[in-house]
Amino acid sequence: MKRSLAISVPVSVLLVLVLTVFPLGEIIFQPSWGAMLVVFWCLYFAASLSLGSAFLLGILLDGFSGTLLGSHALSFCIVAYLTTLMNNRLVMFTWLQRALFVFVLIGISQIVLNWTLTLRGEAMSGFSYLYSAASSAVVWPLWSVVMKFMYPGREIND
Amino acid sequence: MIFADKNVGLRSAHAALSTLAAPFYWVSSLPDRVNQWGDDNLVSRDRLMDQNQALRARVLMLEGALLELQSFKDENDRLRSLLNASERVSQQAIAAQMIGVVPDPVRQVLVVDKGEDDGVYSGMAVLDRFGVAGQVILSTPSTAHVLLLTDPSHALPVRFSRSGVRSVAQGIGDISTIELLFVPSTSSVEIGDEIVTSGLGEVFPEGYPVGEVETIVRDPNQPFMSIKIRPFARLNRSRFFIVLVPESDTTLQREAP
Repeated sequence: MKRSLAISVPVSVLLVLVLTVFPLGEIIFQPSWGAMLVVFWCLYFAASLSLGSAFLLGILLDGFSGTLLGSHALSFCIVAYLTTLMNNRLVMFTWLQRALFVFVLIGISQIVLNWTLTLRGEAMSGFSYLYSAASSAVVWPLWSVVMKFMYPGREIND
Repeated sequence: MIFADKNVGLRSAHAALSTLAAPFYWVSSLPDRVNQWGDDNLVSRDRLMDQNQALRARVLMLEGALLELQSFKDENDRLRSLLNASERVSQQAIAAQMIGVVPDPVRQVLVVDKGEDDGVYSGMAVLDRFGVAGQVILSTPSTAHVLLLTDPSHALPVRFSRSGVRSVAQGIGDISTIELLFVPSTSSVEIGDEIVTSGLGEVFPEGYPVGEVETIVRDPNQPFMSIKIRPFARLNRSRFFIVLVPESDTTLQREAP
């Protein structure tokens, strides 16, 4: 891992953890901060931050939100895989297209997360779990600006 | 994942992660604390004097009511001893402040600032100023998670204080309603009836107010009525809660539902 990442990663993970428990109105509309960080990692730092770090972040968030251990981890791994698969294409997109793509990616992570919640019989009804994907897409442009500020050096994807 | 949830070792890892979350909840409650600090410290002398006067009047009133209650309690104890019933145990209480909400949209779990170090363990009943609020499901050294009684996985044994009909109050995921199960269509229920805990589950002591009947649907084809009640506890507004400590240690460390 590069020296710059050794500072940026803990700081951004701390930021995500604080934002996750920070009360910002209805929980159902809260952006999925963890998934957004995973998408950012896999977009710009896919060589060093990918599935493994997404898994660890997911386990951490599982402990925080009291979900079954592994549900966030699974959904973040799937998001990390899909983003890494397409990141060469994604960095070419305009910011609007990228925000739309973030909606799709985080929507997928929410579907997986909601599916793991049904294992314990506590699924959300209807498509209400997609609200947080929508709010994530709305926040994404600002989020990526803040994150690029936090992660100064950028890797070139192979 | 289900197996991992049942695994004892991984369970303790999960609990350790929850402990790790405590400082983050504390940080996220900072704006609220600053606001509260401002309320406490940045007030004019006039307002403080007004408040003081109002509080003093209230203390007098409550002391009067307490005297009356004491005589009722003595009378009640005498009558109970006549009936050969055991005396009611008085409960110890711990005041706790809410510091966060667990970020899970399908569950209604609060985080309070008292934990194992203060004597709060899982299985203890939690009240607010108006009625029963829920129970502790997880405690870390400095915080505890409180499952609200409106959570779909929470059920509470209750009875009607007027008719004495017993029932089970189950949450439906809506913060302002709970559902009553297994009330026979033939029993007498009216809108506005008060529901109190029946003490049968041994988590909640008997006789604490839970809520009042809001809607009743009687379907002659169904054996049970469908009754919705409005909880007295202000679950989305209360910041201060009371955790009841049972007298004996037998109910401690009980597994939450």
